[in-house]
Amino acid sequence: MTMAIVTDSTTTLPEGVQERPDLLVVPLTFGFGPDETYTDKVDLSNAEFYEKLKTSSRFPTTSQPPTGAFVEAYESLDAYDDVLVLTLSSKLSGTYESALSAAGMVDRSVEVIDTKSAEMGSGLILLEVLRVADEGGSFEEVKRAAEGAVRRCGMFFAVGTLEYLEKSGRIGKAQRLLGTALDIRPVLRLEDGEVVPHKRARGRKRQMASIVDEVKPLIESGSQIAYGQVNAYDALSDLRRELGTSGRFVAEIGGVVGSHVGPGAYGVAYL
Amino acid sequence: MSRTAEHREDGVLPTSELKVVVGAAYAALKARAAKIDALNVYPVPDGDTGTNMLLTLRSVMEAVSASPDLRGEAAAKAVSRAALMGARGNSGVILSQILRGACEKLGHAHSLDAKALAEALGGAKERAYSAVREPVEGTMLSVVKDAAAAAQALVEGGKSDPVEVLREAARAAHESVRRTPELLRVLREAGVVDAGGYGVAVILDALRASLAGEELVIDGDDDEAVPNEGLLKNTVEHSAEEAWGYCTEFVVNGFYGDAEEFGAWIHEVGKSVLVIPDDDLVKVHLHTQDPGGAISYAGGFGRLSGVKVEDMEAQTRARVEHEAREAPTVDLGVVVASRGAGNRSFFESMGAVVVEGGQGANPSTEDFVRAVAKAGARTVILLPNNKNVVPTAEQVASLVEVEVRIVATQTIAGGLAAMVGYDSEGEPEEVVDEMREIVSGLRCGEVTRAVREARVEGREVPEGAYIGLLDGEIVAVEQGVEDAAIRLVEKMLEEGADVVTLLRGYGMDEGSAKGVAEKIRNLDGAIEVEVKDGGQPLYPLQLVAE
Repeated sequence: MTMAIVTDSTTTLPEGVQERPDLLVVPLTFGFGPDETYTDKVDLSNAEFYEKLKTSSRFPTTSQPPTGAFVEAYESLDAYDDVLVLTLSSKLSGTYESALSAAGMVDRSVEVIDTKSAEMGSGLILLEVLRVADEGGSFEEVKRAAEGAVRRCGMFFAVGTLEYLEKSGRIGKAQRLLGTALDIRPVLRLEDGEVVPHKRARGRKRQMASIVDEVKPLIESGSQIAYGQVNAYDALSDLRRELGTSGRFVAEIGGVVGSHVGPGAYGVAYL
Repeated sequence: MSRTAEHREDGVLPTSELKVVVGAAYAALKARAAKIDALNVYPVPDGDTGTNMLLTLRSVMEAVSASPDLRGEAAAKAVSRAALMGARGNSGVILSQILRGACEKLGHAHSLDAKALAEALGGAKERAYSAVREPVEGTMLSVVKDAAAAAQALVEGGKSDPVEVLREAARAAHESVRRTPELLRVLREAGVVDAGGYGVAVILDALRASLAGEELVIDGDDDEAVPNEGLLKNTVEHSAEEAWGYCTEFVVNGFYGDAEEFGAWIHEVGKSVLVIPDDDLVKVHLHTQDPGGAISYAGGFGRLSGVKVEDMEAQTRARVEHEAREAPTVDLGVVVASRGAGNRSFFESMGAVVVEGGQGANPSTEDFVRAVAKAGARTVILLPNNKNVVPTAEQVASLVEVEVRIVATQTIAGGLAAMVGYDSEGEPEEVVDEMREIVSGLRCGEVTRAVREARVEGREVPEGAYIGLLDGEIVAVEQGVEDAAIRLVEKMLEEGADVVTLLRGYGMDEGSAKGVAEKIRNLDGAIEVEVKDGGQPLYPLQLVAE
């Protein structure tokens, strides 16, 4: 029995994973207006993306992959018996729906899992899935491992401004952080795949401190962690120093998730 | 007419007579209010003790006028409640408790005899002391205590004339007022007697005269209270900022005379002023405490028509009663006291119900009760945003059915910082803890102006100087507003900070505020500085460091 993994481009692919033949990535796209679209993590380097973010008069928009892209992916993996699909949170994107309806269009064994996360979070879930698969787990065992990882995986992140989450409609329950008269440095988390407010902090130091307060005990109790950032190198290196671990990997968050959280965002996922 | 010891099974204190007695006390206090306001320890413009006590009595006066048929316990309860509803500021709250304590005793009395009056004063003393968490001698507390003790001693000595009891109480009160500077260093340094204590003595004088059926002679010269004249001018100005009064409207027909002078005068005496010229008509709308004065002044510019005068307090009361009946619909709400248009909009944008008031114009307990009703929540957090508003806020819990939690913010800027921890959908106790934790980590600075020359904490403060206060203590005295702000900032940041918020008020232009912000960045480049246009009066600048 052999199996392949399909995921979307918002999942961070840690080093050593990208070259695997049994892994296929279906890209999302983002753009600044109808005539200017880019394939996530392919067309633009991160530096180019942030430059566009800064200079474009438009807010970026993102698009889920068409169902056909998933159909093609599933069909191209006909050398494998089963396909496990890991998608971006269904609360943040229609990608899951797209992958699911594609599964109904092909005559093969496809299991679609909503990671309820993105980037470094879905990256950690992917690593867990690959570990169980590589250890010889059955498709059923791998699927159960994925579901367990989705339940345990969490993410805390800081944004420079709530503007991008608001404009992109991904703000979720963090909506109530809007309209704060003073500049706040929000700390958010993903809960059941949705962006929820964790804390309003005043000042960058306290913003980071409140992430550290949450994540430090998780590290001490043995959770794996992974970092991610959108043009926030300094903040991220401070966070790594505070948490005392370099984590499993650091995600260069791509244009799609970057369009939602905006520049200056950074965070940490745990599993 | 003498209102002395007639025996009544159905109790004493008929409201019909109380109206006369309280009216006498009100008139006496009113004649002295500006003087009492001026007996101000700190040379900051918060000398509103007289006004606050007056408003407490005014509320009582209105309540007894509205219900002329009560007596005994019912009358006592009506007076206690009205006093509390009208209470503003520390002095207003303590006075309301003095009245409550006295009423609790008199409510059960069958005769207004010497013994009953002495007991009433004793009750007043008890309630006054228990209203304050850490009673300080040399204040109105000492004065009511000394008055009660003198009355008690007289009764124990066999005296039975109630008028004599009050005369002795008033005498002891005045003597006690003169002693207040000996008991309280701040009074000694400022060279004044205690304002609230003096107010208590004035009220006792009036009660004595009224009980004896005498007309109280209010002369201009009091032995013990001799404040600086220059201060009187200032305090008159800010008592006009009080929101209560009469909504007054009229039209001046065939207007002749200096329109500009007319407009300026109306703006001077009123609030919420609209002066709308239309051909030879001028429509006028204003809120004023002296509608008669405005109407007769306007009569000098033409013939008046459409004159309408409405008591806004009566309207307010009706609305409160209506609103209070509405059941809470959400779990958590927040009510803040704030001044200035900018500040109001900041708080409102964060989901707060704003009570207008603070330094120089303390909101009443009733204002808070109304706002709590408006918040419509099962738990309501109160942010007083001023030291003098805290005691008023503390009375609210006993008057409303919903849970009330106080986060004792001392400045408007501090209140804004605390609001960052407010989450309307959070668990109420957790939100309160979060907000209190934020407040405990704040350093609050204020820049204000000395309204008179003074010596405070061993420091000379010339009149007109800008004072920098850090958590209530004077740390800077400068001739310029920006200099005072910068000196204050240097002090504030001695212990470091992550974020500093500047709230600009009247008396500081944008350039100066930005200059101060720049200075902070120069002191420490890592500090995040935010400048907001709060628009609060009396404080050109408030700052909060976190």
